[in-house]
Amino acid sequence: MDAVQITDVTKTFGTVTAVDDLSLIIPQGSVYGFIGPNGSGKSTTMRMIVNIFYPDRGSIRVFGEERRGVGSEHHIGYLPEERGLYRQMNVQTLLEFYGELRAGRRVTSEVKDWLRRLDLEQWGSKKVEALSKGMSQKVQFIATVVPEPKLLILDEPFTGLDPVSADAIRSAVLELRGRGSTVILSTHDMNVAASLCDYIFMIFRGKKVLDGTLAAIQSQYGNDIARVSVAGGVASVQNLAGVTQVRDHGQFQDLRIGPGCDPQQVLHTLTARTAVTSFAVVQPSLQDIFVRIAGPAALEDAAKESSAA
Amino acid sequence: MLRRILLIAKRDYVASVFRRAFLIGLVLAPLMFGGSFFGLALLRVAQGGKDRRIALIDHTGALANAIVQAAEEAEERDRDNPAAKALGLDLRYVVEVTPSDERDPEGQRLNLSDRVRSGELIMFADVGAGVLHPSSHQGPIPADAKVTMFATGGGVDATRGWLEGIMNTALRRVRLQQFGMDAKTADETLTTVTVESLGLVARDATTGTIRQAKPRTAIEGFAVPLAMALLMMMIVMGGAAPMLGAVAEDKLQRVFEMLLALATPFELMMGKVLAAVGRSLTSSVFYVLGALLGLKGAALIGLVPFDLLPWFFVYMIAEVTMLSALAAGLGAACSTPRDAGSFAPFLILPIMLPAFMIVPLMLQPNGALATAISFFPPFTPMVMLLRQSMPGGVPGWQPWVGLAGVILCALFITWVAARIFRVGILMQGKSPRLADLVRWAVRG
Repeated sequence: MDAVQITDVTKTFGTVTAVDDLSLIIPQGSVYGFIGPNGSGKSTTMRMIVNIFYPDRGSIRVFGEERRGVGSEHHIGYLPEERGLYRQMNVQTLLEFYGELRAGRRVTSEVKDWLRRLDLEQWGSKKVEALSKGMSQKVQFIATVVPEPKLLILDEPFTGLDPVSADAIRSAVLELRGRGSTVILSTHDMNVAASLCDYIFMIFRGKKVLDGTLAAIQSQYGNDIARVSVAGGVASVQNLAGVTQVRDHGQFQDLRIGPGCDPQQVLHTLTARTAVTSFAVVQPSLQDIFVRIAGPAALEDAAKESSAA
Repeated sequence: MLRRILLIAKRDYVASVFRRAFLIGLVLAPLMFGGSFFGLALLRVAQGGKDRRIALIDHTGALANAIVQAAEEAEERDRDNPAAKALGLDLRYVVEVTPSDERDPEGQRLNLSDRVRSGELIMFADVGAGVLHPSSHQGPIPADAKVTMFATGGGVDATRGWLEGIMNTALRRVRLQQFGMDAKTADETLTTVTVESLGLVARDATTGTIRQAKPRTAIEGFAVPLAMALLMMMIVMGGAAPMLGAVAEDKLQRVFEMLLALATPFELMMGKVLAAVGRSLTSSVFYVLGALLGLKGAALIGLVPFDLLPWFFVYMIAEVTMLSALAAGLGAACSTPRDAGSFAPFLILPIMLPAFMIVPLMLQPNGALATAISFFPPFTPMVMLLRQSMPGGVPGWQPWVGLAGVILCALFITWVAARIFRVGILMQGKSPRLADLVRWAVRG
């Protein structure tokens, strides 16, 4: 059984269509990454899965059960993007409250265990208002995973975290996945999406534009990137024949090879111009694909198309 | 569902009751709501047993003894009233009659004014020479046919009423004697009669026997109903009003979205409403027990309308449910702290409007206005209770019909508020207008 099955779902707010005829299947036990620019419909989709918003059209099934108007289920853990906690409560009591609300039983030992795992053991008796932002985020994460949910939905869980805390959360997510939980997470960090997620779903202006494994998505876009390292850096790779776009990464540059152009021809032109340290034809990164879909050039093209129509 | 409601209610109850602000409010609220009554009572208790000295400049030369006698008679009447004693109303006036200084009347008034300023006297009065026979003059009443009172306080003063009473008694007594009536006959002529106030005779519904009317003093007929109504207003205000700001604050701190994954908006709102009811019950038990102990200590336990206490609690629970649900819905609609301020009148008016009308309602508790208002559900708890506690009470069916209206209204408002709460709780940015609230309530 799939963890989540979204079928032909549309959600509008006034005149704005936040999610437009979306269908998506999220297999059990996977980590599914939601990417897309701000306001593209990621959070709305997540809220509909959690049953905070109801779709205007279509259906959402979670573990085979239709979700509309029913009570919240204990097997879903949800960490929203805009999150707050009762600041006057102490951490342990707060986490027990959230856990008990979800599980319907005392969760004292699980809370203690998670506090220990995320290095917050000594903060259990402190008030939430005494925590730093990073610590608050870890506490919010614990509130989402106690007791262990079958479906974990995390809306931008790594935003604002220092590398150590982010690593701790990442490990916890993978551990939960390893124990059978399905994880849906949204992120703006393409490296996180590429490294952590089994599947990636991109939504842009309410519509699904990408869905699949990273390899499958990359294969759709072909091997049209030449990653080069040359003497003179980015200045040496400007205005090359057959190159449609240059992305400067500092130590190396990605050259997008235009359709019908042979990468060997580009290499030949380049070696004639400067000393080439390395040259490799690679698949576009997730970041490249994201920018191709939602970057300024894509938006410009879309605007031209709509004005022509 | 019930488990989650109870859990949310428990959290909210503990978070609000075990806070310094609640405990301080518990003590301060009675002072705010009944401040003037308490202040007056405290002042009188402080003055109880003390002599309140009054000087009279008698230009007639004939009133001194009669005034002293009338003052003693007035004091005698109040002496045996335990309620007056308990409330500090048994004030003892001492009248000092001073012959007028015809050579220097202004100097005499200045001297007496200084004694008032120093606290030795509470006031002095100038009794004009013509007061004994003012109607014997032709034309308008002359300037010397009046009594002038000099005091530091404002025009509204209980002493003035007391002085008028004894002055007129004394004047009539002297006039009768001057017309030739002997002292004993004059006293008998001036003897007043006290009107005893009773409730109504009623038939006991269970035994069928006729129940005798119970005596009602001014305290039972005025102070008890007023205290019941004010207590209701204070507890409802303390229980429901903070909900608006609290929900708005939690919303602005983004607390709700995590909770909405664990409980439905209805469960969340009902948990909060239940906590408000719990908070109100805590306050009311505190105040009612305090009042019972206080009245028992003052040997006034008989004043307590025990038969109305169940009504008090039932009305209070229904009113707090209704208004705290409304407050939660409005709080959820707030997008800025300022919104909470603009929504507050919707919440405060149902509590305050009956309080503004309390005097006319008490003057005619079974009049058309009072009866009609007591069936308007948001006003029913306070107004019906006020009417029930007045001497004579209300027809037996009225409280039940009123209660049914309050319960139906509470259910309807809770339903509407839940729909507003559900939509509003995640709405950010634009401040909602009244039309938006109506649309959310209709469409859910």
